This record gives sequence, C-alpha cells and structure tokens, in this order.
Amino acid sequence: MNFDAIKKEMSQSVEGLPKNEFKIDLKKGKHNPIYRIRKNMIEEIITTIIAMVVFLMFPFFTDLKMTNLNKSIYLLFMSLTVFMISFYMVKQICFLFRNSNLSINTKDAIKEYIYEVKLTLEAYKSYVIASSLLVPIPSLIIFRSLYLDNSNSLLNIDSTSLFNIERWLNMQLSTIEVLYLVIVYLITGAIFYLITQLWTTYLYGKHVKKLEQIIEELREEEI
Amino acid sequence: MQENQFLKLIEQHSGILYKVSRIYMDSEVEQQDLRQEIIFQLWKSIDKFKGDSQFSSWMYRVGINTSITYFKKNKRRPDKSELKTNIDIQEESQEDEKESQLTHFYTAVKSLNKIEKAIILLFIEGYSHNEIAKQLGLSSGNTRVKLNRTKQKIKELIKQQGYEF
Repeated sequence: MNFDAIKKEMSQSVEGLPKNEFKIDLKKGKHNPIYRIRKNMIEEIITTIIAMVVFLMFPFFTDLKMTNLNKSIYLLFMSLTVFMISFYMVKQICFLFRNSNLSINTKDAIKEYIYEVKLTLEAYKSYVIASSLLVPIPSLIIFRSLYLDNSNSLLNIDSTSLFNIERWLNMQLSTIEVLYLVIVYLITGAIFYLITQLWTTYLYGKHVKKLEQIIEELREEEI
Repeated sequence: MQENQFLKLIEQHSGILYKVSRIYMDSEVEQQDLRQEIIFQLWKSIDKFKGDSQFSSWMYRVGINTSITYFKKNKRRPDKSELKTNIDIQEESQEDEKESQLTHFYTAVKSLNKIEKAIILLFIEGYSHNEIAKQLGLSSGNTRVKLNRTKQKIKELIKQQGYEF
C-alpha cells in the first residue's frame, strides 16, 4: 500500500476548497465534554445562588408563625449552610475560569483535564454532603411553622414531641431519642451522598468515562 | 494577535482543517462543524503559541486534540454506518483510480479509533515517529508499534472492501 500516493491525493483533494468559510464562532464548543461539564456547572451555580437567597429570605417574606428562637436557629443554620456552599462555589468558579490547554500533547491535555474535573467533582460532592447535615434543622423549623399555621393538619407537635427543637437545645432528649436523631441524620447523609453520586455520574461521569477511554487507547502496547 | 491576522494564518493552513475534519467526521455538515470548533479552540489557545515549533505543527496538535475531545450528541447507529459504507463503494466505481484509492482509504480510516486516526494522519503528513510521539505524548517505541498496527489494520480493512493498492 502506497501511503505517499495517499498523501498526494489527500493534498490535492483539499486544494481549491473554500477558504472564506472560516470565522471565529464564539458559540462553538458545544460538542466538547469540557464545555458540557462547565455549562452544567454554571447552570447549577446559578440555581444554587437563587435557592440560597430564597431559603435565606423565606421566613421574612411569608406569614409563617415562627418564634424568635426558631427564627434565630433557622437563620444560624441557613447562614452556616450558605457560608459553606459559597466557599465551595468560589472553588468551582475558579475552575470554570481556568482555560483547558489543548495546545499541549494529547496525553497530557486529557490527563490534566480529567484530573481537574475529578478534583472539582469531589469538592462538589463534599459540600453537598456537608451542607446536607445542616439543612435538616432549618427544614424542620419550616415544617413546624407550616404545621402551626395549618390548623387542619393531622400531625401533632406538642412540647414533648421530638420535632420540638427547643427540647434539643435544652438537652431534654432521652438517650433513645438522641440515638434516633443520630440514625436519622446518618440516613439523611447517606441518601444525600447516593443522590449526589448518581447526579454527578449522570451529569459529568459519562464525559469523564469517554476521556478515560481515550487515555486507555494511548496506553503502551506490547511489542 | 488581531482577529484578521489570525484568520489569515488559518486560511494559509486551511488544508490542515480539511484533512483533520475529513479523517474524524463522516458527513460534510459534521466536518464543517468540527472545522469551526477547531478554529474556536485555536483562537482560544493562540496566546499559548510561542513560535517554538512551526505553526502548522501547533495547528495539527490543537486540531487533533479538539477532534479527540469532540463528541457528537447522537451517535450514528452501526447499521446506518454500514449502509453508508456500501453506498461509498458503489459510488467509487464511477470515480477515477486515484479518487477511488482515497475513498477506500477514508472508508477504512472511519473504523479506526481516535488515536489511530491521529497517528495515521500525522504519518501521512510526513511526521517522523519521534514527532508523532511528541504530539501525542507517547514514547517513540510505542508510536512505532501503534503505527505499524494501524497501517496493518487499514490494509486489512481496505482488503475487506474488495480493493487493494
């Protein structure tokens, strides 16, 4: 087989082809996993910012019956959550502004990219899981307030109920109740971890896999 | 670098864009899309070109890396791909010998993986084993092995098309 002839033919076949079709289209990059991951992350950051503002302002813009103590606890825990999420979000934004370098050799370019993505995903998972352990308390306060505001509710939250957060703060819980809370917390953490794992695999994992497949193709072969 | 200067440089080396896009994509629409994608990546990376190597080598590197990390949204189903190959073979009977060789070559190349495509393209463009190795980040020995296997694979694929040259 004569590859020189192929080369000649190949060069001749591109002669005379239009040169005026070239322009810089800044909307390009959509078929690139790098672009897709970054696009998904930007969307998630925007959604998270909106959600944080809504949750933080929630007690002030609704007619919820909430005691001052509950309001304070809600704000304290929500502020901690927002602080934690913001910290990781800054990390993510730094990653988004870092340009992937496709002008280095193929193996290094792909390896570098996979490393960056995995690092960011791990940071992302950590913050979701960490914040998931704080979110149940403000959620419980809202749940309680919604109940108090709704006289038709079948649920009964009295002063001895486990849902009564004042009891938690005054250390009025029995050993079994503390154990019960710890188990619920651990289960909540595990569920959040699984959901985050599935979510990141669905959004980003498939692209990382495709890139890892290419690294596999670059692996040294036996002579 | 100014946009018009950059585009002038791209026009001078437009052959690279056509060759890379034809090796990696089937249809003209996909090829055109890939060419635009490569131009976009070249424009984003132009500041990193320091002139240590030839512009054409650098353009090949960015072009190949872009093509390798370029994923189509909907993958062509295998049966559809098979159908297209048959049509190509029927069409070739009306083409002259040289064009026929090229058509068979491109048909065979479509069955290669992305790295094999890069290796054969750089080889055909006259790059040495060491240069190909440097472009792809492989060892020289590994490049030689992969190149020989790829050449062998292409020969067999062309043979399977009932053609030999």
